[in-house]
Amino acid sequence: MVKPALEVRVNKPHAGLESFAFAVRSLRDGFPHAAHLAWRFFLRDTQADFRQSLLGYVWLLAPPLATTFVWVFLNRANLVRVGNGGIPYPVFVITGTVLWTAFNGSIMAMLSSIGPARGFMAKVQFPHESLIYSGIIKAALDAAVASVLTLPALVIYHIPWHTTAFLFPVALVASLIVGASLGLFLLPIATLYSDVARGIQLILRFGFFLTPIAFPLPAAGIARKLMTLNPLTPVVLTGRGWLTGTSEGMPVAFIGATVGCAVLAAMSLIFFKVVTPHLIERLGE
Amino acid sequence: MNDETLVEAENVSKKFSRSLKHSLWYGTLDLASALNPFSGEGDGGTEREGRRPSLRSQEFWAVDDISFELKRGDCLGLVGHNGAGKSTLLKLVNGLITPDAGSITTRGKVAALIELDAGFNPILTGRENIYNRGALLGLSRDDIRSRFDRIVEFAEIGDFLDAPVQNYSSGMRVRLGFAVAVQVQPDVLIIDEVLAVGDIAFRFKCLNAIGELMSTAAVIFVSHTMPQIFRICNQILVMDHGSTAFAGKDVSAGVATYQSLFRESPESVTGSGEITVRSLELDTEPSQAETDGCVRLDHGAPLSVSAVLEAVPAIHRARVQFLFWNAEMLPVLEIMADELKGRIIEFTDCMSEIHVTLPHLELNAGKYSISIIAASENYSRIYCRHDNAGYVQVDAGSPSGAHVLTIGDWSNGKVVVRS
Repeated sequence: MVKPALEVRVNKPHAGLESFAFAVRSLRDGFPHAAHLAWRFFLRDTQADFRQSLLGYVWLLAPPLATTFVWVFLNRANLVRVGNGGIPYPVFVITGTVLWTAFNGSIMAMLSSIGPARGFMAKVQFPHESLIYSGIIKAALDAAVASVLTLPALVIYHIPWHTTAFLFPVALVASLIVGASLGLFLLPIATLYSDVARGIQLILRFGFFLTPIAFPLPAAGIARKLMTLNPLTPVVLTGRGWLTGTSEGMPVAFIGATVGCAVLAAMSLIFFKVVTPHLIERLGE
Repeated sequence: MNDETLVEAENVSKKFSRSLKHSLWYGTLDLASALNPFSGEGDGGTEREGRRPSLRSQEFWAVDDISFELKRGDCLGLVGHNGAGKSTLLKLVNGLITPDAGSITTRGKVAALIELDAGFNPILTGRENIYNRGALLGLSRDDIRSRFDRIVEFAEIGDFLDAPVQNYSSGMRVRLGFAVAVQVQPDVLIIDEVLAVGDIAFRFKCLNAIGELMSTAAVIFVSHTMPQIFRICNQILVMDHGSTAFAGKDVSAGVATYQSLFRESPESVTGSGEITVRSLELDTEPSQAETDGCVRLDHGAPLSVSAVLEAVPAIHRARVQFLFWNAEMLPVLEIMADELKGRIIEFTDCMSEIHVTLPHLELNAGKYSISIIAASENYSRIYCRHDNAGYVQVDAGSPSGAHVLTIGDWSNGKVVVRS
């Protein structure tokens, strides 16, 4: 019997393009194992979380609901007066918040994907990108659960069902992609310096106000300029437009932002694969 | 098929930084240079055109120009003191980190018995963790299912199978980890100090399981327990501060080198100070020059110890004995006189000289440090205790882990078979 040829691995200093080719090859060849492992990681973390929690999914629904209530209250109490772009304000806020939750969850899932595993990453050889895949699965689940909130909102406020509403999950995926691309891009440096993740959290607080979540895109001014530069803006506007049947969408910008971020995410994944040995080296024991 | 080379390390070097701040900054620079597809010859980067990169401030060679080659069935004992670079070398072999110079080629599946409970989630049950850990090691769900019973039986966790792993004892965790890990059929197997835990019975079970894997793999075995190295390895690599102190097939010579690296502690003197040690001389037969207060001899050779002591005028008599410590700082031998007490010595003009000879020093291989203890006749007062006054290094090519190897007077009896 002829034994199958053994896989030969050469571990030596890589440089330049060679290391990129190597990274792409190992991402491709390692995908089945990495995907299986990502699923196991996801199951493991989710099972463990749920076993330690009485309320389970409630914790996924609570944050977007809380945000919505705050803004609805501020609006009702005339503390903040915002326009609603033609749909009931609570529906306006909750659609924005759900998309924001997907984006925010995705960016945070990327930035925190390495942390809990740093102990055994430096000891055990496995396709490390599986940690990232598992983070994406987790963010997608959270986003899907949170998006359920939009349904009662539509019913309560008598928003008629539009066929474009079936496209809302596309906007949800786009939000995940935008978040994942930014998170993945920053992941290597965030793994070395905790400052990065803290800084991101701070920036995201401003980001909330630079995205048309709780108030519509201003007609003019500096805020409008900043908001149109934000890749999440077309995603939120288009997604909300699809769900509520308003014509507020920015389809071209939506496609541009989504495709651009998807390319950035793919590149960042390759970057991550290239620099993983350097990260492990600095993670210590 | 037994002559295929499975691991080939050629002039492997890896540098590390002492300070975390520098380490993170260099890490950032390395990220940038790794991501630059046109990166040229950077002084901080890695090897270019066979040239080893220079060290940056606060850096040192954690692995310094190491080469070795392993075929299927070979077992390399990797020894060295803590911080000698063993773990770093293993990470390089495992492909977790990239060398800064040189290369390591591995053929086939590489598996490491390191951190056996890595990836266990404490909240989940043993059963769930078996599947997770198996996936981490590259086993498919079906692989694990078909080996599940064997894993559970090997791990001896019994009723705890469906209890959360946080309720396991540390021994049970390691057993479970080991049981899953040995299900992988590797071509290259890395074993790092995993046998330092668990009870004796399980340790032997592990050794036997490793023995089975070894016959079909090339093994790198890290241990501080020399008898295990003797038992398992047919090659040895002794590392000291990142570089090769000894490499070759002569395992006992390698172990002797390792033992000679045993760091000598500074001499220390305690006690009342009424007696002080002026000199200590060690010798064997045939006579040998001491080097740095250390005499080297073979197991069973004679050892003679001479000491000159000085006392304050009020002290005329004292009891003296010599105590031998092994590398783990355990007392293993004490030279006594009658009634298993110290030898009584008399001081004239405050000085006294004493000799003692052991016809056969029966200590096992290793380096031993000697303490001189001088006390009052009834031991109510310790005049002087002088630690690390001298060193003896014994060479013995035995796989025994005992402290003392003695040759008995054996004879054969007759077995009477009753009809």
